[in-house]
Amino acid sequence: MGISYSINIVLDLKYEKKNIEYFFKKCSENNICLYRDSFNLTRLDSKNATNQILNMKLEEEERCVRAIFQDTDFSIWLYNKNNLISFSIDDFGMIWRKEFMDGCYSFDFARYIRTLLIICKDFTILELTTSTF
Amino acid sequence: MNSQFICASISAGRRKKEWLTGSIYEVLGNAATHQFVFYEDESMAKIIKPIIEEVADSIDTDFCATFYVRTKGHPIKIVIYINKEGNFIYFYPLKPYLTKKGYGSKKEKCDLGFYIEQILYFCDHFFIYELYTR
Repeated sequence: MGISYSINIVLDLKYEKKNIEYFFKKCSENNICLYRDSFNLTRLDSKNATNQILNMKLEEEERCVRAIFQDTDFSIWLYNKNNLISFSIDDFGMIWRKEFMDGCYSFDFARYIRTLLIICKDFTILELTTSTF
Repeated sequence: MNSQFICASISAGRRKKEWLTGSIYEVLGNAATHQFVFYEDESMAKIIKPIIEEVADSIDTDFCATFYVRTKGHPIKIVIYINKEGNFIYFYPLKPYLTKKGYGSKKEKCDLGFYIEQILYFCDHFFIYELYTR
């Protein structure tokens, strides 16, 4: 089994429908295309993406959207953390890798984090954690 | 000092002195490229230019090196700490970068996004195993 990576960010943004929709609007404005899931590439606008996240009929593991940005793709999960929006990106398809100065060729966390910082430039970031498992 | 910090665990040479020196050369080069200004101590009174060999010697003997810098006007204490588990860069904001962003925030809070961006500049060209805020 391969290595999995994820990045989690907590925003100073109340977990409510209009804010989730605004978050996805920022994704779209930064050319992140949102889709229903990996197997159903129905394009979602910010409103539909929000409805998918908030759709309580779905199982929890289905409450995410698929995203394609440039030549990479990943899932975006939204959580309610103490009434604030917390989101994770993981399940990378085409992965951004890079050769680093010590010669290792690996996952480019920095490039993904920089992309997320651009999306989040309107929001205050309270926490960020990366995981490799 | 603000209790929050940002930590990046990076790949770098630590066993061989020449690898360590090369890594220090690289991070200090990154700092110069992104206009980090180094100071002698926390008072931020005297600007210094870190000497690569001295920093490498300090890490080689004490396993850590401490810097006081300003970047974009914001003071940060940077600690490079190396042990058997890895190479760690810590950014401690000395005066939190308080901001009230245009959306969502009700009052000024420390925006860790600013420090995350700065630590990415500092660690440019190094593989990041892990990055987290506390």
